[in-house]
Parts: sequence; C-alpha cells; structure tokens
Amino acid sequence: MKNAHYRDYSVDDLTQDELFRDWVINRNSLSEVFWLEWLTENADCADKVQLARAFLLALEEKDTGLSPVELEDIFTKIVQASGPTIVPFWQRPAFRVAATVLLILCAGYLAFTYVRKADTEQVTHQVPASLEDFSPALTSDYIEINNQNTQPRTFLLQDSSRIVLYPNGKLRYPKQFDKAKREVYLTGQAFFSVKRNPQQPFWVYTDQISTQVLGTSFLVTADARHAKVAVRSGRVSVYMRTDVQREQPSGKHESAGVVLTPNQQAVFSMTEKRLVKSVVEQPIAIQKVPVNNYIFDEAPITDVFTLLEKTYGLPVVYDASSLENCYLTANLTGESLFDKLNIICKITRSSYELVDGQIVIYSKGCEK
Amino acid sequence: MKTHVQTQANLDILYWQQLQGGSELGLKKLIERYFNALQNYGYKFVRDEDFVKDCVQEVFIEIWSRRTRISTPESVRAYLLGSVRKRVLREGFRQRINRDDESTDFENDLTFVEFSPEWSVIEQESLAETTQRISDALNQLPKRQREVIYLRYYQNLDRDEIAEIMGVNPQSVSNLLQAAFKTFRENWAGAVLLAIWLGDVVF
Repeated sequence: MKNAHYRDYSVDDLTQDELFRDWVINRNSLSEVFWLEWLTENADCADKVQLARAFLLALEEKDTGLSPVELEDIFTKIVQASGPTIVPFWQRPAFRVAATVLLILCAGYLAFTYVRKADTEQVTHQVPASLEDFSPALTSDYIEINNQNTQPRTFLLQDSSRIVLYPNGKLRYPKQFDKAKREVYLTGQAFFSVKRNPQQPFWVYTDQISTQVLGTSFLVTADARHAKVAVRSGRVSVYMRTDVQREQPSGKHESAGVVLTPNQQAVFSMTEKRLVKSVVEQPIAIQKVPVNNYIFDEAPITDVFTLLEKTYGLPVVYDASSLENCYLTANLTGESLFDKLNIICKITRSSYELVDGQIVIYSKGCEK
Repeated sequence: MKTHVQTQANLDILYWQQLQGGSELGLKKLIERYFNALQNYGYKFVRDEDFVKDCVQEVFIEIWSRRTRISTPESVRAYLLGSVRKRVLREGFRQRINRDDESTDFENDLTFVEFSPEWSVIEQESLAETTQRISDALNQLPKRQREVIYLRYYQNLDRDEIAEIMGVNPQSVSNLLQAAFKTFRENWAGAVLLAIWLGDVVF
C-alpha cells in the first residue's frame, strides 16, 4: 500500500503535514488528487482526514488570495514605490544569452585591509610585492585603469577580451601578455568577456582568490567580507591566491583549487581561509529538456533524479536501495529546481540537502 | 517533515539575503510565497480587503527600501507576519481615531475577529457542517487564544515564532494554546470526533 505512514497520523499531525496543507489550504490540484486517491485506499481514515480538513477550513478567511498576475503587479508597484533600482546587468536577458559563465568573485581587497587594519602600512606594500613574486608582468610594465566615474567603463584588451569596469574598480594588465598566460589583477568589480584561447589561459587575480578560465564571460566583484564565484556553464577553476603562489614553481594547481561546473559556486570563507563549494541560489536549466519529460506517471524516483542531473548539471546523490520502491506521479513542468525538489520530497517522504555543490537526498524509503 | 519545513525556512533566508544584496528576484520570491498568507492574517483584524492589501504592500516597500540596513531575521515568515500585525493594528487604530473613537490602546482595541469560513468554497455538505461546528467552538475562545490557534494551525508556526509575532514570551504562547484546547474540548458537542484528535497536544 502506498504512503501507509499517513495511517498513523493524528489530526494534529495532518494539519501540519505539508502535502495535506497543500491540498486544503493551497487548493493544489496535484495534492488533491493524491489525497483523494489515498482516501479511497484508506477509507477508514476518512473521519480523521475530514476533521483535520474542517479544522483548517474553520480557521480560513474569505479567500483574499491574489493570482500570480496580480502578485506580479504588486511586485512591480513595490519596487517602484521604493524608488528606482538598477537591474543588475547579469539579470538582464541579454546577459543571460551572452554569458556562458557567470563568475562572481570578490576580490577581497577590502577584506584584506579589514582583517589586517592594525598594520595597514605593511599591507599596502605587501600586496604588490607578493604579486611581483609570481606575476612579474603585472608589476613592471603594466597599465592600470581606474574607473572613478559613476558609470561602468568598457574597453578591450589586446587579445580582444572585453572588460566592463564598474565604478571604483581598478584593473591592472601588462602592456604585453605573457606567451603562456594572460594575467590581470583586479580590485573592485568587473565583467569579463574573455576571448577563448586554450594555449594562453586567462587569469584574474584578486587578493584572496585567483580564477582561471580558458575563454568565457564572468563577473568579478570586490566586497569587504566575501569572495564568490558562480558558474553558469562551462568549467572554471578557482584557487586561493596563497596556494597559487606556493605552487607556482612546480606549475601545478590541482590540489589546491576548486573546479566548478554549471550551477555551482565557490565562496571564500574569511574565517576558515578556504574555498567552500556550494550550489548557486537560482540554478537554471543548462540544457533544454522537452516539456513532456517533466510529466511523470509512476516513474521510478531514480529516473527523476537522473533527469534532474541532466537538466541542471548538478550531481544528485542518493542511496538507490532505499529508494527502490519510490515512484513519482507528478507534473513538474515549469517549476524551478528547488520547487521540483520540494514536491518530490513531499511526495516521497524524503528531504534534501545541498552539500558541497551536490544535491543529497535523504529518504526513509517508500512502502511497497 | 521537519526537515522539509527547515528547507523552506532556509530558502526564505536565501531569498532574504538576495533581497538584502539588492536582488529583485529575492523580493519577488518572498512576495509570491507570502503575500496571500499575510493578507489572510491581516484580514483577521480589519475586515477591509483594500486596507489590508495596502498594509501588506507597505511592509514590503519598507523592507525593500531599507534592505541594505536590515538584518536577517531568524524566521522570515514570523518577521513578515509580525510586521503585518503591527502595521494593521497601528493603521487600523489610527483610522478609528480619525473617526473620533475614544480608545487609546490599539493592541486591545482591535479584536481578532471571529472565524467565519467561506461556505461557498466548501462544496461537501458534511464537511461544511463539521467546519461550522469547529468554528463555532473556536469563536467562544478569548481573542488571544483564537489568534494562537490560528497562527499555530493555519499558519503552521512554532512556539517561538508565535511569541515573536504576538510580542509575548514563549511560555505564554503555550499557556494560551493549552487553555484554548481545554475550552475547545469542553465546548464542543461533537466529542465523538474529537476523540480522534488523539490525546494531548504537546507544545
């Protein structure tokens, strides 16, 4: 019998159950189908279900609920009422199309001074000095662009890579790139559209982290406390700068770096002095999946996870044996990744966690 | 199920932090998630749809315009409900003042209204009947007990969250709930069904 655990639920438990509330309060037709079906199989529980339903309904108000369209209007009104805001360029459609990789790096320039403000003197000398050690090109014959305007400034580098430097951003690059690699040094925020050239990787150095790409677009931002790199598609390597310096002579970075794939991000933790890998806030589909693929009819749950992996490029980790008897009947078309996961977890009595850039599923298993 | 609720709360925090960072997407997500629930709650105090809608809207406007200065609440949902409660009570009280009422205590002046389920949406007759009986019984409770029941069950909040919203300590929330259930049991004639409730509610 499916979903037999609900048989043990008290009225009190039912009123708190997400799937039950989804039916009674949100009037979700998917959940309604689930419960009506469950009731035909568990007719003896009808009184209990009726009571729990009546209890929630008794507390309910005349339906003042607004439709998604009305909520959209309200959203617009609220934003306008609070004064004009600038839509960040990476949220504009044009950018979404253009960018293959979205990288948010916080240069940590301020963080460095923040932590070490006791010896500011030393810091100002130390940064260029250490930079000199591993990137002579950036300390001898270089050009530095400093945007003091209130508008972003766009310019091209000699390799045709395009840079948008944001107000208060400072970018340093050599007059002539090294043959082996293209190196730039950034404080502040900049958007890079890097010309692809696998023979000459592009490096963005900041005080805390260094990012290596072969050719793609990404955003680098400076922030007092945080450092973050988020990937839209493709592959990006992020290193802590201390590690890059240490391993420079041997020429290998594998051990110290974090490799990011789509919808993953690396956050630099100031306190732990390490890079933490996680999932981005708003994962997007990296590959077009036919609409019908997200309509499931008694599909083995493991198939559903495989499809999610394919769509979002994020690993889904689960214990296959405990999910053996779990099947999903649902239409998840048009839901975001997290909404999909929420529905799947609700129906299969499981929960998920985001660990180390992966989706980890915990399940108590399903009854036959 | 607890983990699921936890995941939802974590998502809320995520959206909140996006909002603080200036992302309209975070704001939009929170509006989509909570606007209706907040209106529903506000309507419990003032039976004026437009008034309540304005209040909820103003709560979001204030959050959005102060986004760089506000901190992250422990429970986003409780924070939003609490803000709406405060605003509805304050503005509702102000309106009354304008109409020359003499009351001075807005917290006690505005009643948490009686439950009056919408019969039109309850098509099934026996369900409608049970619902009516439950709401009759609930309506005999003092208003603060009614509010605790509403927040606990309809909004599915825990003790600490309710305490934060109503501005009382968590123990008072437990006491109010216990008292509500005691009265509820005594009042409700259909004790047969109540037996299914299964024992005491530990809170």
